[in-house]
Amino acid sequence: MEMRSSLARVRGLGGSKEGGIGHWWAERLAAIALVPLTLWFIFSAVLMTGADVVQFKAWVGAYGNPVLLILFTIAAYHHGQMGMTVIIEDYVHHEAANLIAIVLVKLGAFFCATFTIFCIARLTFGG
Amino acid sequence: MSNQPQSPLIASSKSLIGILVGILYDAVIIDLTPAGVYQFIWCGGAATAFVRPSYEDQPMATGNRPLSPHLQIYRPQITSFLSIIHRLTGVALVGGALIFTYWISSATYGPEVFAKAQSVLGSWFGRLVLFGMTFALYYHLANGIRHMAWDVGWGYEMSKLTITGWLVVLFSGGMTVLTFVAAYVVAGVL
Repeated sequence: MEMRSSLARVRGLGGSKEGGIGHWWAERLAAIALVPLTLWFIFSAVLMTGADVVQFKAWVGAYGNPVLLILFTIAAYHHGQMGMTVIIEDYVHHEAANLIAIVLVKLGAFFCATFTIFCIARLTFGG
Repeated sequence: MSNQPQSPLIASSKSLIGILVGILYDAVIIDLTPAGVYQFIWCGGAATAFVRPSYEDQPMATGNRPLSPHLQIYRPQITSFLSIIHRLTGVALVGGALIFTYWISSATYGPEVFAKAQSVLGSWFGRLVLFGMTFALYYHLANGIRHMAWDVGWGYEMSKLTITGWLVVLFSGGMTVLTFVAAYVVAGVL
């Protein structure tokens, strides 16, 4: 039985809106990827304590590292963006503020991830 | 506000500390709408825990209905406490991701900019932030695995919840200290 009013349905109000399961699953998929990636990243970052730019570029561009760094970037921003979306949905009840906050978080994460990946590529290929 | 909360605690809890606690509590846990913030300030924090935020656009009058005892009434429990920390560390780690982007991108602007970034991150304040981020990372990682265990249906018994909870605390605390010791060794300080 449909409990929502026509207006609520048009506005997409209700428990999981569209794609609650998809969101839940995607957030966990990124989380699974982040377990090994995070442990690898912490280990690597510790080794870069006090490094200069030459050592840093050598580490970023070392065999396998650019791929791991890009995967870490994508998984972290993807997971973070989805977590922030859930938190905004929970606490920001004003409809316009809610929409604006979610759009900003998603676009911001997309920008930051793209920028970071570009920097990793640039450090790897020189220039 | 169409209707004011009627809790008997309202009058007694209008203190400065109550208001500050209320704003913090509100910002973290309950309700960030202008009406919700206003209600918290009006009630001086603690009392609002009993009162549902009033939503003017709701057809039925749900504004002043009592709630079951909220966080401040319950004795602190490891389960609820760790749950809140999970969300807080998650938000903190978004800041951590931005620091990561700052760190990586600084190297593309030349040796001086990267050296500056390294010195900022290596300053006492930078180290303090990174210490917090390291803890947040280990905590969110370990408790995230705890969440995945729940997702496949394991570990809901109270005894297991308590044990895995304390394991997460021990792991994240221990690994954070170990990581910082390792970083000091790499830096040649230890």
